Amino acid sequence: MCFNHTWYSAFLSGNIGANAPALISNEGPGFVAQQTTLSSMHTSRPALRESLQEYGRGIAGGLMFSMPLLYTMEMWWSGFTLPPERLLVGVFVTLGLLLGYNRFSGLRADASWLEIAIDSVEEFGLAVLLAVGALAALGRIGPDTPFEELAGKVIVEALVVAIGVSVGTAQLGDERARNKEGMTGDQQGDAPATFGEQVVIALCGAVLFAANVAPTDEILMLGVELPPASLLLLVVVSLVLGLLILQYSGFARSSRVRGETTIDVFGGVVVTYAVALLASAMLLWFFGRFDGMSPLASLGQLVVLAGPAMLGASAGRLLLQ
Amino acid sequence: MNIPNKNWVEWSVFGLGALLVLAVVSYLAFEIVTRSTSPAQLTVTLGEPQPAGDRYMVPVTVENEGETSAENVLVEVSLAGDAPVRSIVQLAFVPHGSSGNGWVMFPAEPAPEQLEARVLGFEEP
Repeated sequence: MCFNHTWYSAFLSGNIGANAPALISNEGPGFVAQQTTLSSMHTSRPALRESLQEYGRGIAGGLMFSMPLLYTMEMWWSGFTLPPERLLVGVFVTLGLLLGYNRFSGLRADASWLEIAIDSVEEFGLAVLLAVGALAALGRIGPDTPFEELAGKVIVEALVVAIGVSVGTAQLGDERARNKEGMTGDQQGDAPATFGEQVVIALCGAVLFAANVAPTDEILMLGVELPPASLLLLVVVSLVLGLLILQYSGFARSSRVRGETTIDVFGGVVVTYAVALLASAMLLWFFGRFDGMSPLASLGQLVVLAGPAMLGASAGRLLLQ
Repeated sequence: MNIPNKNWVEWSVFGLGALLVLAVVSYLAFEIVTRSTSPAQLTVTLGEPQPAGDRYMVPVTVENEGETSAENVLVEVSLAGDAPVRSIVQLAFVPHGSSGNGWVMFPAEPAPEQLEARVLGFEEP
């Protein structure tokens, strides 16, 4: 998995001041010196090269994180089987997640809400173009595709690509983020994240991970076929995995979410699992997986999908500054 | 509120992005208002039989003029005459407003006027 590395670069870009000793041991003192000159250079309009680099990262990230879904036929089909109401809700929820992610991922500590909104719109636009390009390259849309089918496929794929673009822009690079952050980043670097921020980021991570498998038939199959005892085991495994990631893995930044008391530790894991269940429910509803299902079958799918969602939610919380 | 400092590339990307977001939202809103939920309406048309090795194949096109998509569309093409033959093709998906294509095979060259095609059934996605 590449995520370790991306968190790591986020870590580098995030807390230069607060973590200078750790940084020097990894990169050498020259790195810090370079950072200082860069941030003093860019008080005015960003250079063209930097903008293009940032979009390049966004494009790479968008494709990297959403590639499994660009290659999934259930996704293409969702484009023309899902009712437009649901797609519209999906568009608004995705825009909301982009806002939340851009605001709280820790790389834009000094950005105003207007800047965050502009970035989110840019990311969504890039995602639509990337979805068109990728679907055309894969021969899923072409000049002969009726408009309704084309629009549906592009919109469904663009939702996932957009989150990928956002994560890619923020996590794959460090140069621009450092410049943008300037001095406020250093000052705010150690402020503990609020509960709300943690929930938003955990939700973004959960959606990003769980979306990769949510539209597939395998979730339905597992949810319906697994006996209750296995589902219960799956809940326990998900909680233990969350505990592992948040408390004992030593992932970059995990010290920030590590609980002090037993109540902190287990409370944190349980809240993260609740977020995972929420993300799982949102995705299953979006892909119509609850339609006509019995409560038990719905619950089964929820628990099955909450496994990957828990991994994403826990990992997401580590991205927080 | 301060206007963020952006160069012309960033402003153009934002402009394009805003345009696309607006287009997606208004398209979906338009679909919600104008859409009716009539079931799939499938019509089958057959093309000219073509030889394929020692067999003959006939192109099948299924058009869906309804408002919902059809899944697992089963089409039967039967050849009347002295030795009646029945061939079946299944199309995984025929989206609404779109068409799906397939082929049916026959052991001998079928006369187009003796071929009859009908949709046996389909699944609602």
